[in-house]
Amino acid sequence: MNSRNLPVSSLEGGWTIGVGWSRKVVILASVLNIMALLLIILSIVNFTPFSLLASVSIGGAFMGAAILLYIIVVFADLKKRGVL
Amino acid sequence: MNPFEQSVNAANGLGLSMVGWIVLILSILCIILIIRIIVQDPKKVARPFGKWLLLLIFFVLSPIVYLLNFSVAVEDSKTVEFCNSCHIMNGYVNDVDDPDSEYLASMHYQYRWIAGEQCFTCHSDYGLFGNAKAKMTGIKHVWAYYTGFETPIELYDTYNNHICLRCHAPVIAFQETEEHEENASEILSNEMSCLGADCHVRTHPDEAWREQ
Repeated sequence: MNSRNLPVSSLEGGWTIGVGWSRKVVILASVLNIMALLLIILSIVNFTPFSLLASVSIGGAFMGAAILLYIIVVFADLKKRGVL
Repeated sequence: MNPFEQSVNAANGLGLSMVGWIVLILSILCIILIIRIIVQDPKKVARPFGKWLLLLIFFVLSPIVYLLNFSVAVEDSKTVEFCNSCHIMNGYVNDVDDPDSEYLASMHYQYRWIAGEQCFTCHSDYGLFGNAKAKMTGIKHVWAYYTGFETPIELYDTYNNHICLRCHAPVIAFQETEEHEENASEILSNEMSCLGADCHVRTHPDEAWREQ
């Protein structure tokens, strides 16, 4: 197998975030984070009780979920590499 | 609108605060970076640069944006205009805005005895956690506004005299008023309310909540 056929992670020395399920989780986390940021932008541009509530509660929940998902991926990655 | 009111509105309506601009710019920057990493060049997700950048966005930039937005929201939600954005408050704000009204809240507003954030000033407790408690209660009220609430709306408890006293107590004229001197301990301990038929007039019209 030449280097052209290797997964990207192998080329980068063991990082596996961009491969398989972990990539899907990172994309999900990114989508959640973007949604949280959009809610925050809505709250800044058009400040109403609804946008306040949405940015603080729903936005906070999305952002928290994104962080948790990324932590899971990082831990799985470190475990796979034998660091943990 | 007269020129004085216009000048005040112009001064207050310059747009976003500096923190607001920072939140807006950081949010847009984060979204652009995420989209560039995830959509435009998916391979970057697997590369150290992409992963560290995502780590920075998720763990540092986004939480900073959230906290800054929270602080902006806390400040902006103190305004009378924000209170008036819930329809149940329209009657109360219309009354304080009425130059002919003689209710206590209206007098404080019309004569600017309280310079700004008049609703919040009179409805937040004195002390270190007074503002935080008022904000938490405010968030509950916003939630209740969308999910349903009972009318007529009422205070949870007897009005705290110390909210009045934080401005009035140091005033000599207040201290030397006979009724205040005679009932000082009852006023300070909240056993006797500042508000009521025997002392000061009602703060808001009783039926204000109906005017939506």
